Amino acid sequence: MLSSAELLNFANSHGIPLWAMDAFIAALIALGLFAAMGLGFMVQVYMERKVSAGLQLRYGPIYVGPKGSLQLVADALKFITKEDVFPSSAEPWIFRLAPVVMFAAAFLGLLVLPFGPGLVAKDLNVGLIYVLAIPSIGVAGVIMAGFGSKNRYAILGSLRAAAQMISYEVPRSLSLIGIIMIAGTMRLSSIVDGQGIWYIFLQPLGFLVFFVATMAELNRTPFDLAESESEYVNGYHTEYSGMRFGFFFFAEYMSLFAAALLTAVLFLGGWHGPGPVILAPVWLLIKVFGVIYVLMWVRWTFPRFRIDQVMDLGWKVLLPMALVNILVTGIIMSV
Amino acid sequence: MDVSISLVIFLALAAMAIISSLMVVVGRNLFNAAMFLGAYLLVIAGFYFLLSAELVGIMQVFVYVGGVVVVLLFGIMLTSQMINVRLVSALQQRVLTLVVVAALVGLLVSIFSKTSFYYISSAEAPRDSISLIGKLFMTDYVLPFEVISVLLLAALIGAVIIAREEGRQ
Repeated sequence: MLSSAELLNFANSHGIPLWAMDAFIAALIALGLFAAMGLGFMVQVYMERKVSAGLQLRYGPIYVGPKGSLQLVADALKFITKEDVFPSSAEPWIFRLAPVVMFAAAFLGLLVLPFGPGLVAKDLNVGLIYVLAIPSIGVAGVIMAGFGSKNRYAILGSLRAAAQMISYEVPRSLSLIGIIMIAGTMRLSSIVDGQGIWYIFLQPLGFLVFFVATMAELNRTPFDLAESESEYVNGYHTEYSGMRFGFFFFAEYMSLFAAALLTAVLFLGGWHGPGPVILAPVWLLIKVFGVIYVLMWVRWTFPRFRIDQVMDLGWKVLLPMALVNILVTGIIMSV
Repeated sequence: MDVSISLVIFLALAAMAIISSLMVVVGRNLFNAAMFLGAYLLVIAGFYFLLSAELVGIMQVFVYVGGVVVVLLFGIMLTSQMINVRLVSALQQRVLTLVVVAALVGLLVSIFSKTSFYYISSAEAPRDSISLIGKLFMTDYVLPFEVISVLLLAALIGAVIIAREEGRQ
């Protein structure tokens, strides 16, 4: 499946069975992605703390390491060594599996995202639908977390989160149809190649709908009804602590990174930029962290919506806007 | 020896499909049954990927796992009497059940015996299956496509009407 001719020869000459070779390569890619995400996680959490502190005229972490940059290492040690609290009324297997499902959904979403020309684990020709479909497994994880905890706050939070994620999946998917129409493909690398002009300029309305829907999909403020601390403790992960909470935390920032990467690939010209090809991943990363910065900026600037406002925005504003975008794109393309 | 990774994956998926579908039927907890149904539908998506039918596999995840199973879980959680209930079903219509089961088994056996499992198409999987499918939807299969659209629209309107009537009471 993955083997090239050289690897095939190597396997034959050393008597390694083909399936073991394939499995080894797949495991290697998964580990590489995991390591990259771990690094990205640390950078993002540090960035979130510093950005939020800057916007609120605070210092943020300053004690651990230079300018507080090793704070997350200390936090990770705390997560790992903390007591594993297990609520006595929880459903044992559902409670245990929920963080795994969330994590797996977030991790699987990265599989088709290109990090540079040719730098992609699997360049599916249905890549665009894939990145939209995989987060819906995460919805099941949210419901599992709420139901498994057997806690009223957790159940309410999980129902809200799931309702919100399902509602915003619709405008989010529809807002990208304009891009599919212009690019004529759903392969993410081909979409990047086709961007002589960035699609943000050709699809401004589509970008607006996609960006707002992405914020809602990530459950970040102003859409953080799922874990609104002032209303019900912490939403669906109220009962989780220690490393189990760490998994939710990791999955959340992995989804954030994936969403920012998808935005950069679809609307901001992906890895295009001046300079030699070797700089392509650098340009992409600059764009990704720019998008992440904007998302954090929004998060720490605006207050939270009410649940009815969230639903109204999704169904009565974003959905018609996405449909109008498709219509306008179609008319302009046929003229 | 012809052990490829596809065979290993196929056997693993097949085992998971059998176990999870059994758990759906045997389990007494409705929430667990719905979870196993979700797992089973994911495994089916895995089969589609294995056969390089990526579009069908992704649609399986999108529609069944992301849509049907989540709505099922919603229904279970919003029906307060359904949480924590161990369903105990007694066999009440013994004769009818036997007839239906026998008919189903007969149907499956007849299909099984008629299918030849050793036919594998030598043709390459089409490289750009999406545009092919899109073209077919708009030409040869335009009537079923439109009929399904109308059906879905009717279901949508029906759901809105039912929801409004409940709101008024």
